Amino acid sequence: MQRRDVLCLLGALPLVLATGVARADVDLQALNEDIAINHAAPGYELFAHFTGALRDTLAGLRDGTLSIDDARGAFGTSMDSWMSVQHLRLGPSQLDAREFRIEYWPDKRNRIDRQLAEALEQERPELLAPDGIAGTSVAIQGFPVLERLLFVDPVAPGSYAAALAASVGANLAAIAGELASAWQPGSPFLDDLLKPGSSETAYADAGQVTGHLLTAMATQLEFVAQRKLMGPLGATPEETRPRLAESWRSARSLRNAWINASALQDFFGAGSQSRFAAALEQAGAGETAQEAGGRLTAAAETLSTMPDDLFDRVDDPEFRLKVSDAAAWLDDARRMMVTTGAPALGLNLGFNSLDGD
Amino acid sequence: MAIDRRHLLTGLAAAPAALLGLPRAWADARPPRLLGAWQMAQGGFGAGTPDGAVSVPLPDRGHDIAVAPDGATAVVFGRRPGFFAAVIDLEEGTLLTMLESPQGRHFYGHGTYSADGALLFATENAFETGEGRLAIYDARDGHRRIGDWPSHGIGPHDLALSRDGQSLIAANGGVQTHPEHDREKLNLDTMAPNVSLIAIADGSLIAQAKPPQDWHQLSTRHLWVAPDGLIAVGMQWEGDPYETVPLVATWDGSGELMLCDEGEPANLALRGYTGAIAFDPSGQVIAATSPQGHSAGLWRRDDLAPLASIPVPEVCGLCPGQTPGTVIMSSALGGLWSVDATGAMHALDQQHPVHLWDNHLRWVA
Repeated sequence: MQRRDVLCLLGALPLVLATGVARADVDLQALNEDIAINHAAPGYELFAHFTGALRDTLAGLRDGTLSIDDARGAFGTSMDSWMSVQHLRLGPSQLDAREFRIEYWPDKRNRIDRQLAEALEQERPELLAPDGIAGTSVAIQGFPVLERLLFVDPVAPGSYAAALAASVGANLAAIAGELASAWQPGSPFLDDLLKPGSSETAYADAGQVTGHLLTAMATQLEFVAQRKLMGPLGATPEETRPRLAESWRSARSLRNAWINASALQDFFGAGSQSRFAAALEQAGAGETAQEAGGRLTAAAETLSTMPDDLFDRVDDPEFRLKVSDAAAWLDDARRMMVTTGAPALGLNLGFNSLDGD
Repeated sequence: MAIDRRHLLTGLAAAPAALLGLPRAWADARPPRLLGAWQMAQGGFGAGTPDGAVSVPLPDRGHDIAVAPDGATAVVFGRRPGFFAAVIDLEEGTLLTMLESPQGRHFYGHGTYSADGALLFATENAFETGEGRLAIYDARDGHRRIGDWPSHGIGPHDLALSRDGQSLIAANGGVQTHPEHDREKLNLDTMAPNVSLIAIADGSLIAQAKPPQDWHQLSTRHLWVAPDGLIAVGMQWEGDPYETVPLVATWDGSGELMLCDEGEPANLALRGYTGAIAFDPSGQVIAATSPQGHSAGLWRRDDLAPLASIPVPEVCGLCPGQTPGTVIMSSALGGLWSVDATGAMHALDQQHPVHLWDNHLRWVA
């Protein structure tokens, strides 16, 4: 898939008018609604759509009607759509650790390789049943195991491995479908999120919801800058550790980071009237809005000009500098949002999570 | 998940009120109430009950609470590094005494009374040497400090009383801190956490369990004792934040810790951290909360099979519920819920505007 196509998809998110009632200066309810309805919901719809196609393609691969290249293509578009919503670490993605079932990474103790080898060795039939795989270890359920089956040791049609890949694809599509439903207007979760203060809700007011959204953004900014980029890149070429990277087997580590940064740009909402950029302007923190937004844009644009594979030109000083610049801008954006942005919006980011004991 | 939740739930016997953790003598006298430390949304610290009947201002953040066996007093300890402990008269709902930690010492935020209520024990840091101590107070003489024992490790955090009342259980988290270095962790490379069973008669060590050596940075922090004496241990990972490690364990007071499966969703969702741990009233279900992961998990006690994992923003406070299979959870956003073993949440009544609940909750009468 071309990068332009992904951007078109992100840009094609349907416009729904927020119905929040304006308060004194900053309308956090409108911010929450805009992100939920115009960012998260369509993002998860795309994720469900592409993993549905992945499920069908992998069934075709298993049955011998489609090729490994078809399957790799469907894997790529599904990963693209996952990278567009990976930052939404709240609500449905956290229920029963769906996030980890979709992508168990990093995997420092090599659980995926061990469990995959065991599954292939034993040819466990229960892993081929839709409910069977959903109830098993997270290490065997998501994209990373699929990546191994499609890129490392490509499966042969009719084999147990091909059937396992189809089962993993069906499970991913099922999880994505659950997430898409959970973010649909009128769902119990969205009612909770967008009607803070009602008796059963986890949130007492709109500011708490916005605070949780901002926390999710900060978490992802740190995750991409440190885990996905600087950790594997290392300070010098000698310290480069390709296998610490996400998706190195499918050679798309840098592409993941680029889509993440683009999604965070949309989440921050420089072009929107009601997301963080606009809210900060309304709160008199226009400078933070412009600086944080500028860093996000710079990071996304720099990453958009680079190859998909982080390790293509990892010895090239200019290449290395671009990657570390992008990571530094993402880090800057996080720091600005947490130290200046959150207080400007009057957000309580929650003392329990900030300094545990 | 693969666990048969129905089987678990039907297996739970009706819980006597005493199993809430309430001393038998007064469990039936007054309806039980929850007590926790809080921050006011507008700033300021305190501790009290959700209905506001008990509401005591505190000089700084409070942490856990020790409840006297006769139900007359509860002690809210200052949060690490805490220099105060507030003794609250539960009958009047007022402050009785404010204890101060002695020179060179601070509280870690936890403590417990002896079974007869005569003594109060509190975890302490002797911060010039880094040694963990258990301070001893005479509860029948104005909570006067009468001595201290070693906690048998560094960084003692939670402290519990064994079910038979003969021993103390200390979670020595292993992390050394000094108040002059704020909350900076000074010994992460060499930390050696443990859970120690200590004779209440003389402070001697009876037994000790440690996480496996590979996971020596697994800080043993919080404890809860089941009605039959099994100890649940909640841990915090001080190593690489993206490494997957088990965060919930049980210990029978001898032998090794039994660890949960680190790869299961309920454990992963905790994101390397537990802020509190508790049993349900029957002792068949273990719950752990993670404010870091904005999630809570529930496990079957016998084999630590996960039962549920639920997203709860800023959750931390945790104690047994009022019916078998349930626990109570609170959040720093002000939420208070009863949660069953399937993860279903039911909001509890409380006074508004909400107070933001700090890390721990206990039942008082």
